[in-house]
Amino acid sequence: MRIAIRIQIALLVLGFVFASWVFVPQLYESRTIAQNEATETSVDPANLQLVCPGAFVQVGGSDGTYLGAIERLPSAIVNYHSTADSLLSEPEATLIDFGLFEVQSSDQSTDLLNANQLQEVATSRASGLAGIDCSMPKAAGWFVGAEASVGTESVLILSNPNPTEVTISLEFIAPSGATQDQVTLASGETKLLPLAKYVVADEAFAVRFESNSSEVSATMQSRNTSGLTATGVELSGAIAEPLLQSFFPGAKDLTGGYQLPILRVFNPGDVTASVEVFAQGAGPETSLGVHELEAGEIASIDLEVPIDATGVAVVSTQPVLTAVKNFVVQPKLDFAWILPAQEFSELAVIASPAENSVLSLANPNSSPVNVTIQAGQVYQTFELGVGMMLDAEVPKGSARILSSGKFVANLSVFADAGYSVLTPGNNQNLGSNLEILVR
Amino acid sequence: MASLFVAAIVVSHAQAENLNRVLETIENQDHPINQVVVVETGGDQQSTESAKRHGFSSVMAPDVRLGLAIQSGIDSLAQAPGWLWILHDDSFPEPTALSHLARAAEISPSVAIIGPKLLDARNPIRIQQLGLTVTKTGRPFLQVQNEYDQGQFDSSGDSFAVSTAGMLISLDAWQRLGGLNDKTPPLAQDLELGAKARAAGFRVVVEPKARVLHHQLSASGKRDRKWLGGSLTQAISKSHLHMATLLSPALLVVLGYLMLPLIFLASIPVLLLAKRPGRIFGQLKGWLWAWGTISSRLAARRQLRGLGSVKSLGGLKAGFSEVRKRRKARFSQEPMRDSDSVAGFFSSNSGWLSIIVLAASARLFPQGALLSDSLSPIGRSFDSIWNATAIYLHGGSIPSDPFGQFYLLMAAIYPQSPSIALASFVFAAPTLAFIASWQLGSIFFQKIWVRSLIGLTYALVIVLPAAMNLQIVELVSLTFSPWAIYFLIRASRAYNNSRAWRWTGLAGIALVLVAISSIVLFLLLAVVSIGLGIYRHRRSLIILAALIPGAALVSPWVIWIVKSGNWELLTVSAAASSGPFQFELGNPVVIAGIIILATSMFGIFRGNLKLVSVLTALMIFGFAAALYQPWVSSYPLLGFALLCALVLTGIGLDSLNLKRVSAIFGAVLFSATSIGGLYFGALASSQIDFGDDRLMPALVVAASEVSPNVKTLKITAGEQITAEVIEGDGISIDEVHFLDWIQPSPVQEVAEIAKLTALLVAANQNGVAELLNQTQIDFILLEGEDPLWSKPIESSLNSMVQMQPAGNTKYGVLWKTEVIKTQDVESPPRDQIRDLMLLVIAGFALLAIPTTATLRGYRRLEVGEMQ
Repeated sequence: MRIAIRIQIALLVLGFVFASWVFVPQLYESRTIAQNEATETSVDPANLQLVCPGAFVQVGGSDGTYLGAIERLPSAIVNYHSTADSLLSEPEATLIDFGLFEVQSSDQSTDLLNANQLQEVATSRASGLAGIDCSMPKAAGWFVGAEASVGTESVLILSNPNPTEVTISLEFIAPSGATQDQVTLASGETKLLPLAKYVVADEAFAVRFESNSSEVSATMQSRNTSGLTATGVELSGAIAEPLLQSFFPGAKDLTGGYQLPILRVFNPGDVTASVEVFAQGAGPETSLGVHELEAGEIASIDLEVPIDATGVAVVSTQPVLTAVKNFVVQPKLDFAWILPAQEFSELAVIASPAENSVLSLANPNSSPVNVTIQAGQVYQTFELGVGMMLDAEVPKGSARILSSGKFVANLSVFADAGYSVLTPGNNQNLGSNLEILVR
Repeated sequence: MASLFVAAIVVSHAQAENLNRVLETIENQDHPINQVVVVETGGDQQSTESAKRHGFSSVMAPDVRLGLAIQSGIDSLAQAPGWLWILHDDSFPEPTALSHLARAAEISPSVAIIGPKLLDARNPIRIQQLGLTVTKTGRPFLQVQNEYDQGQFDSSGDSFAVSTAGMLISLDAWQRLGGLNDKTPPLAQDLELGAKARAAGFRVVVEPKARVLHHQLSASGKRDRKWLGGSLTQAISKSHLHMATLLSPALLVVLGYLMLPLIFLASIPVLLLAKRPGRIFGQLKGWLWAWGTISSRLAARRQLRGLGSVKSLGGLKAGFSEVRKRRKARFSQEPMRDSDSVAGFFSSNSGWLSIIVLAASARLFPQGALLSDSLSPIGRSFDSIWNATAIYLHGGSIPSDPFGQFYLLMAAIYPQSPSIALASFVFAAPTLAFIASWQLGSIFFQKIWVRSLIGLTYALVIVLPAAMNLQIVELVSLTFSPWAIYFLIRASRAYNNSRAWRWTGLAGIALVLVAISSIVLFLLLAVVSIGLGIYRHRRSLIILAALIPGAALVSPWVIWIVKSGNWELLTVSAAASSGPFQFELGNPVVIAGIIILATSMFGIFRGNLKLVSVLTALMIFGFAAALYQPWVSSYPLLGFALLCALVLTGIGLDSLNLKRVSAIFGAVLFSATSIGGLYFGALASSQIDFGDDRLMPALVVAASEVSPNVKTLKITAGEQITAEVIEGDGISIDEVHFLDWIQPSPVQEVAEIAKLTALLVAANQNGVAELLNQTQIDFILLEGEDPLWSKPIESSLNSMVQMQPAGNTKYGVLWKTEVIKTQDVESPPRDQIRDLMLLVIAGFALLAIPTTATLRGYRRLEVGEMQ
């Protein structure tokens, strides 16, 4: 009798455990604590400021032998588009020093204000078209196109458009080692820093700048020569942060195989990155190879871009900093640093500074987008598939790009004086339609 | 020698059988008794008939009052005698008693009262009483008590007073002294009579040769309590008060009566320490009685003082050494060995196994404040935690988490750094759990290795995972629930009530910790308590008293739940509770639980059937309760169920008689437990970090120490911008309350903060100053790992004129604002409810403190007797 009771007890335990395991979880749902929803609030953003870096910097005098001589070669020409009734600040049409655009509006975008500068440089030591999109000041950023080997020169142009003094920390990361420096800029001051003194003839190195307080304008000027022949000049802006995915519309072989585009990659992290490059065009993308970069490594990779490609895309396992150096041989030897294109949603307006400009577009989405380009009275409509890039010629003047989804864009300028690529940015301060999650 | 003219007055109270025997002893006296009167105070006719049978007269006294009864007897005497021999119905004089008393009366003319040697009627070789006296404070004291009669006290001598049982008193003295004062407490009547005789110039002596056997029915509680006016203890207390009023100087009497309330309050902790909480009520009654009958005390004092000086009484009082000697004699029994266990935790060397548990917990060795994603440090000082853990929040609208009182306990242990105290507890918890489960096992298992195995399994497989995952709330429940069960069982099995109260005190404290961490487990243990109370019904009230402090502490929470109807919240006690336990086969604890459940089957088939049934029922209840987790983890309940399963396993192992089988079984289980310990301990993948207990930059902390209403707006920069207002020196875990989480913040506050954040982010000065003043924000703290988001916002903030940069800190970039502080934060009112609760817990803590007797292993004689 007792053993029977014990058996019943044992069966009761086992049966209960089994039954409750199977059935109880279905009887109720565990609660979760509801999080506050984000509060959407709109405030007037800060005034939109765009800084144009100013004219080309000549180091060492006209023949490059004057030690310590740094001067600006007049003049850079400013082009801009704006829908504002008036601008709070507007630079001269031609610039020597930096120029500041400032506009007040609650609705900020490239349509409100977009500007760039171009300068035809033709001296014995420097020749080409130096162009750059006038961008919003930044608090920190990177340059990966710095060079200090034979036949190359890089100059860092730092401008302080703020009413207060600012201190900028600089870090130079080269294969030979890293160095730091600090510069202080008074309000309205510009400093021109030839970078050769910071590195030991390194072919390629990266530069990081960081302001201790307000945002500043930072531009990298590059000059190449081959022997006594000037082979190009360029101005390039800063890259905000390392990315896992970058698009370079317009990066293609324009030299007929004479000088392939060069991908400059820097891995600022602590972990080895695996970087794959794709050539994109009207058809399916093509892989151009996978490259391993160790932590802190900077590499220059020749890109055998197919003839029908419109640009390249880079995908990495770790955030990396990338830029593409693209070359032309006609009508002049020149090059351009193509930075990762910025992502726009639905609308971008670019002030095209020259007649022979080519707008290169890419689709970063996972589904096709429809794009319409309005330049003057001319409309061009495309369907941009996934992994596609395409070019569209735009005349001088404002080019308006409308899209059903996100897109990236670069503007390549071809002139008799040379070649330059403008990477327009999202000209917008925080303020409109901010979502703040209050805990 | 001439005989005295003696009349015997026998006072009887419905004790016909005893009375008959008394009357027989009176008949056998070798000294003539001229008259014998039986005074029946209980209305018992048989007593009257018994008196008639012996040829003695009898009267019915109107009530039980002794003085009136004796006077009734005197009044009924046909002739006025020279001496009265007063006897009770439980006093049996030997044949020569009266003659010895009479001889003492004849020798000295000043002797007016003579008392015999009272011997225990059940054990005539023990002296029950030989004269009465009082201590220096007036407490009744027996000069000789419970001593073997070896003739060591056979010389007659003066005494303060003698008992009326067998007393020979001169009628003249009786009349002059007014007899016994019936307004005097019964146990003080003899003393007062003796004092009055002494004051009037008479002598009171004891004559040891006169032997009277005495049952002492009143003192042993065999009479109606109405005669004593309450319990024996109360009667003694009243007598003490009465005699103190009579004998003390007037000033002391006045002060004493005025201080009675304070004395009552002071007696509470003393009685709790002495494990006699039941006497507290008696003390209260005594105080009220004293104030209520002060006129009678003062009248008696006046009468005594009117008869003469009381100075001579000082020499007859009991000295301090006598009192001390008597107190020691109460513990004169040999220390008792606890027969329940073979060997204790330390004497069996099982204590060394604690090293295993400590080693497994090595990663938790306190090196600072414990930090994890789910656990932020607790407050940095006792004051801050005290303020944060008030019983009610927001002006009394909602209760705070019951578990907040645990943080307060940590702060009380180490006020300078409560975080270190908490970290130390987490480190020590598995070891405490091991000791608890070992001790619990000592109740059920005889074999030491079984206790050790079960203890290690509980500590390493059930408790250690909670510690390694920093599940503080669950850890408290798991650590203290076995202690609570152990103490409850010990209370039910204690040698005497005092010991039971001590175990109850300990159980009460353990149950408090269980209640504040898991209300459902507390309810389950309450059921266990009720069951134990039914099983040991004599101790039921004492056992159930252990639930009082826990119930008190969680009552605000439970009351709120009942009012709101949100019954699911009974499963919650803290915001720091972990999320629901994952009952999945991939969870190692679940696998361990299945193994334990399987091994418990062994105990089901081997153990005592009743015990097995109870344990199985508890296991099923625990498991059933554990499955319901609407909000937070039910791991404590699962732990309780597994503890029951482990006890069943242990019962099975304990029953194994074959050494080889036991050894194999034990080795296998021990290995499994060790592997579990390694897996959950040293090799656990838990992220455990130690750090500073500071939650905010030093500047903010310093400001909050000066002003309590410092506010910081913390902006987290990222794809989603987050804003949070932090008061004081940061939101420590004790400042987070569960009901705050599930109740949304006022809308206006959210809108203001969102707007202010947006303006700051957008570097828009317009309206910032007004919003800062409205929200009273003192500091802005910007954090964000992605410079893409944080740098622009930092620049925006730097451009604002209201912001003073205060530097980069490890918590983010800090700015001081130029806010005009307008709000004065009132100090929170004293939390009287918590004060009351803490008082209750303090009472139980006093109960838990062992007496010196307990520490020495002695046992106190529980018979209520006069000192």
